[in-house]
Amino acid sequence: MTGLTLDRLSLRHPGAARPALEELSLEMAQGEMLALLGPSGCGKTTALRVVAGLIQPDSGDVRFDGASVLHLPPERREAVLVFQSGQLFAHMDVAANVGFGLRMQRRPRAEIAERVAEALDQVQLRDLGHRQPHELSGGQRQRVALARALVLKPGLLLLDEPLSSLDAHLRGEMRGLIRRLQRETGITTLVVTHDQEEAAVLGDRVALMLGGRIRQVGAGAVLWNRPADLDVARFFGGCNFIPGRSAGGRFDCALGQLALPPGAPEGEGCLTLRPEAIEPGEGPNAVTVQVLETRFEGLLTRITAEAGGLRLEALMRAGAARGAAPGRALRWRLPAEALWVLPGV
Amino acid sequence: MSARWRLVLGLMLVVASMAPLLPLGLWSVARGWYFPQILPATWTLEPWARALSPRSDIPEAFVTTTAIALAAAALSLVLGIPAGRALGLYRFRGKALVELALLAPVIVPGIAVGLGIHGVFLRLGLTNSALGVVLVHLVPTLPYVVFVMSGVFANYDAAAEAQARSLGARPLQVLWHVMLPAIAPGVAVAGLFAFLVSWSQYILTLTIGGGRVVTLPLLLYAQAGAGRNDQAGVLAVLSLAPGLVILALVARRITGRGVMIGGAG
Amino acid sequence: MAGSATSAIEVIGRGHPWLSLAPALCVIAVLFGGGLVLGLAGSFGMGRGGAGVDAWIAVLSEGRVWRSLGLSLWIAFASTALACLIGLGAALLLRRRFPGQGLARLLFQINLTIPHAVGALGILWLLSQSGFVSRLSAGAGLIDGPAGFPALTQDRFAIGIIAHYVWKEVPFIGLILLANMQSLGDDPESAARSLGASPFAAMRLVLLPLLMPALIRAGAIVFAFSFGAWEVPVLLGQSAPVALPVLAWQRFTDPDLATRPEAMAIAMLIALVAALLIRVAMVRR
Repeated sequence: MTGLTLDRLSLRHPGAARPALEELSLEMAQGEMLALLGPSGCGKTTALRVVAGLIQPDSGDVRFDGASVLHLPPERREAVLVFQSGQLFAHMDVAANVGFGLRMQRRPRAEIAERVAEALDQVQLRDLGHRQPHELSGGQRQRVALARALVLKPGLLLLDEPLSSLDAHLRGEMRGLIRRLQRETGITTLVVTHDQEEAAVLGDRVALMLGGRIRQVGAGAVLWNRPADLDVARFFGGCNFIPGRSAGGRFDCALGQLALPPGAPEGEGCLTLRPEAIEPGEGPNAVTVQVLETRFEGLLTRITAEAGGLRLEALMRAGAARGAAPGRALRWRLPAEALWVLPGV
Repeated sequence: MSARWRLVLGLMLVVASMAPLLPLGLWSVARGWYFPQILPATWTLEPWARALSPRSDIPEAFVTTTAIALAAAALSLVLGIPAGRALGLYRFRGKALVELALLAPVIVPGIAVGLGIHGVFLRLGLTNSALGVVLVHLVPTLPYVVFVMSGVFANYDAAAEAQARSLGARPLQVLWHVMLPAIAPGVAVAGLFAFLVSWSQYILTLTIGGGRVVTLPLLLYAQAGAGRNDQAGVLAVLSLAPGLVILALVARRITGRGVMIGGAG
Repeated sequence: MAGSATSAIEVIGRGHPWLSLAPALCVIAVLFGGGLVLGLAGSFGMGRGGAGVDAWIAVLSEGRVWRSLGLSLWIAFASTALACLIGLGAALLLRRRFPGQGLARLLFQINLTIPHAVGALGILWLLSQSGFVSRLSAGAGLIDGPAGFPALTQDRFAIGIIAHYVWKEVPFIGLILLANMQSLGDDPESAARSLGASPFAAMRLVLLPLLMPALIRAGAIVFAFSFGAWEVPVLLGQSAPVALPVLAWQRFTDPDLATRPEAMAIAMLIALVAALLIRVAMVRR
């Protein structure tokens, strides 16, 4: 169990216009599972490789339990990286792959065999030790890669997009497995993903990374409903942004005065609420809107409407959306607990 | 390993690579370069003047070698591009066997088949003729072109052709406007290196040409054997030239696969 | 793959891939296949009024042939081993960035384009007893005259021949390995490092095994070439024993036409070694 500190890491790849990491800082407690979430190209995989010791940062520090590890080569760090592609060694069978790290530690053969069997058991691949990597399915390969890391009982496990190469139906299963193994072993785990849902399910906390820095860290629901700024809100699909002023628990804007939840920031800002939070009908914070367009999106219907010269988008179930036709006026309720203010925007 | 060590070792590698070329170049501009002179006592362009004079047989050999290599490269492309397309785009029964049949001429040394081919050509009246030499050069050049082109076609998306048809292009238009532009760089590499493979041939030329078809490598050994080192030096430099030009043209396009076939020949 | 292949058939060719392959295969069959068949027939004395195994018996019972075979195998083994070793080292060297790397890579490729005949002459003028290195040694006061310089060409151990093949094929092996390293990327080694392997262990246990198939194939090509080429040993080899291809050519050009079947038999021996190489190194996936 290792606590991880990333302290103002900066890194620019040679020839790249923008830095891959820019003053990136992050804290992970011992035994925590944290999801590092971000769009592709935001530098999250680079960050993972810096922690693993595969890339040296230009500046900043990486500390395990408070001690800097920057001078340590990857093989002497307590972190093990599981690559996105699994990177099973094609010339070794499954057991040899899983036992590779133990062999590097020059463990006795009997111990290696025993621990390899144990690890394969953990990932439910007990009898596949003699298979060659090319004989495995994508999901099995990923599980072998996971076992290969877990067998070393690392202080810190680094997972790079562990689910992205899997079919949709395998993802849920693998997600459950990762979650369960992390609980059982208590290994501090940093998992990198571009998928919001995956981040929310896997991480005790989620760290959102945009443009080489961490923009917000917290429980999934917090990032979702209480974004720190406009970019974070947009990343999570936020589309309703209402400029105005927050004072004394109320928000003054083109829609009138809206009640805010307790603790909302004060001052000039931008009100945001998620489209699926809007409800039809009367009540506190009800506003009249003019429907512009409705779009059927399967489970939900997206309704674009106009109110006070502002554009609002709502996502509603079929029943709630009934009656919303272009040109019609409706009453929508904006529940206070779903509102959030982005200060100074 | 530190960057400095890499630099030193890299330098050694380059020096060792270049070393045999040094005496060749020096001989072509030397007069009376005797042991133990490290460098020629007299520098002169006279060997070049002599080599290019009308009485010399070097200009004619240069033309012959170039013409044969051009013809062999062109023929290899004509035959090799369709074959490379078939191997690169399709999977079919017997494909491994075809690849093996095309690989064999690359591996089996020229002399092993050359003597037999001499028998074939003797019956066809192709020995001692430039045409015969062009044809026999296909043995090393054609497999090379096929393998390069199959690599090119393996990375070629044939769906683009269907798309073009769907947009109203006729088959020949598709060939000209879609396929050729896409494979042109590969064709250039394959053609240039087929040229080079033919340009470098010795034993096949000698076997089939019977000494009547005189190419630069044959003349090179004849002059060196006769002790006319200055003329041999000129010939060596002339023989190097196309390779260097071609390398400069395609240095960045050389791939493992192309090297695999072309390098040893 | 299957889908795109079908659509491609509909666009150009409208036929089976065999149609596109036929012209090339026919040419190879007539030239290469015909050459082998006639060579084999010739070695049994066919086409010369009669058929028999006389030439084979003569060839296989002749000490000179066996000595030539031994010499050619020695040349091929030594050249291949050294070229593979140095080529691997060169590839490991050139894959990482260092100042001048681009130029080094370009110069490294030059050998690839040089005709063997030219290279062999260069090696002769470089390493012979009156060659460039010998002159440098004399200039440095290490030797008194040409005779003081060790015989590195036309010598018993075929050092000059081997030097030529190593010189010419190191870039060949090196570039193939470089291309393979490039397509493998750094990730396999990085994964090994993250699992606790030292840089050397990662190279030995992960990178090398992954490169091995390419190295074996490239090595087989080098072996076949250095075993069967004629122009290099004819210039750099001693007069007896001669390399097997040189012996075949001597018999072929002998004024006594009766030795031609023997030349064919020796040529077939060379083809046989090449066929074994194909069997061992190429046909297994």
